[in-house]
Amino acid sequence: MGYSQPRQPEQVQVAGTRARPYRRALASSKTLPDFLSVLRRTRGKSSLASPALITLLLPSILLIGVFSYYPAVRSLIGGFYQWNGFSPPTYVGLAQFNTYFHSPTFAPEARNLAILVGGTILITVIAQFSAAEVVYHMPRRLGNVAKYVLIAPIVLPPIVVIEVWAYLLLPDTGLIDRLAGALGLPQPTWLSSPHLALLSILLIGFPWISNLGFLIFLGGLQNLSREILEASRVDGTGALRRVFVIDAPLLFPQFRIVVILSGIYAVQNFIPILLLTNGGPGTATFVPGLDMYQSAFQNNQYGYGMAIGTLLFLLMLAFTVVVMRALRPRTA
Amino acid sequence: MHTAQTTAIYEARPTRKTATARRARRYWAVSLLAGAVIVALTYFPIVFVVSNSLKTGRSIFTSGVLSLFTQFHYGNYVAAWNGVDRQLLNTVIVAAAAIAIGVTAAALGAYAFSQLTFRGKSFLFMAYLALLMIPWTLTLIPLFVIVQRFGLFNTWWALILPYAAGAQPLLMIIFRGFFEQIPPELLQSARVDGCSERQVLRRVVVPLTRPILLTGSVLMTINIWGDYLWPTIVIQNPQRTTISAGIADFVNSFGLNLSGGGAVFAALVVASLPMLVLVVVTMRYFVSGVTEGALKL
Repeated sequence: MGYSQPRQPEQVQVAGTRARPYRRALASSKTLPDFLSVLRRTRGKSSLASPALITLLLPSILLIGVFSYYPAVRSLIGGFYQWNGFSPPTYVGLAQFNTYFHSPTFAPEARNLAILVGGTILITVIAQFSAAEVVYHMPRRLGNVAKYVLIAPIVLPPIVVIEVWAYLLLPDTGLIDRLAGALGLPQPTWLSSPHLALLSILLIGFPWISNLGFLIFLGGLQNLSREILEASRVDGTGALRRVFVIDAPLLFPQFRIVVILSGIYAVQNFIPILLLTNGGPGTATFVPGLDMYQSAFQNNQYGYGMAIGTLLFLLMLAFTVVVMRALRPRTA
Repeated sequence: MHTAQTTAIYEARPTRKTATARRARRYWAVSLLAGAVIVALTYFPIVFVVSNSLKTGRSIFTSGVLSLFTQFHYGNYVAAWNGVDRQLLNTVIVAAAAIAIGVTAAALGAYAFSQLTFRGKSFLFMAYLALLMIPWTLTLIPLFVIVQRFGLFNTWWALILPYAAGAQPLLMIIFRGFFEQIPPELLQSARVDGCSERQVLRRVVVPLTRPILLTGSVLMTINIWGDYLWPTIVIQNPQRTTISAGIADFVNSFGLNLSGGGAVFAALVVASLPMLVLVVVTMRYFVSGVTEGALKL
């Protein structure tokens, strides 16, 4: 077997056995890349088991298998077992789900989560769509600069944003209360007030522009068809009217993605709560994610935590499906 | 020409032209004003943090509300640097290792998905897409159990391997899309010109795909840099943890009343600055990567 032969794939095809193209390739190549190329040129549709494919795909498959799929499956099963992390788990059926639904914190958790998810979606969509409209209407070159300037803070570590807002929202001495004081406005205690704590959590990150949704909306606007915009201008549609009558309906797919992404983010993002209020005061900011975290990592109730994790997963799945169906693009 | 005709029409109706022009100018003015407002709102906390990071202790609370950049106490940065330098280095090491593993694995896989044909290909790719629907809250607890079982608790591997794995779905999607654009004829012609297969990889494939590999690395760096929760769960030793957890420790060591004064704010700047520099340098890659990944959903 020389090196000349594999350069003519048809010959290899005819000469080699179709079922085992890699054996032939193996015999005719010295290095891995050589081997891969010979294998490719044999054009046989290799099965998943061929060594070349295994070399290429195995690292990635191993990673997601061990660190993504296995934990996911384990979590879905784990909710049915009571387990403290040390003694062997015991099967308890749906008992832990039941316990959770009847726990005294379930009602406030559900209420807080609903407010956080609804609030996050609302402020995200409004802030990012408006920002995208503003940038879109800017002169081209300036708009491009504005886009980068507005998106850059997305790279700030979330912990930095949270700590900054912890300072801004400090009672009396925080920046917002001092500004309010200087203007003669009331100075609420924000995070330590039972009524305002949840609102304060939502306030973190104001004006909520520097995120993915802004880029998604802006990309959508920039891809709107010129003819439609031209037609609307000829019709004399005003700018504000155009936003609602043309831009918003045509950007339906973008709205859908942003609603889903921000909703899922809101369900999972208990980190500001963990750092700033730990669910308090009382249960004013307690959410299922925090309950899950505390159950597993503070109270050693791993099974119970996984049960809550499973419920959250189902909630997000249902939410995604509902939004996908509800916000189907309406083609006239 | 089309443009000439349009001009002619507009000239025939001069009132209309000026009205349009005036309206266009008004939109510009309004959009510029609105743009200035949203940029100011977005950046006002950053400005305050930088200003406060240069003030001494109590003067953050005693000087006037809007007294920006009235003091320049650079000693705060020395204190902040001494507080989190170790964690910064740890983060760089962890990110480099996670990128080396994660990007290499995803690039090899993406090469197979884009340039080879094999049975079960689309099914396997669906397995990557499906991962985007699995939330991290679902995998958090079992992942911790796995880390303990493998004896990785309190080691950097507990961060590196899950980070490399967590990045696979996004990397695979953006890499495959990019690798598919390499025409097979290009690789073939390099071979005909006498390149060995290794040379083809090194001289053709890697240079062509470098932008997307860079994009993937930048996205991973930002995620690892910003992750707070996972290091606090799997790393016990504060000297081994990464920057986000380190910042939380540093701030907490002074308590919420901010008795640490400017040093706390200086630490926030120290933690943020590398990412801002990184994103300014690689902005174009970053923006395209991040939107492409989201739109494939």
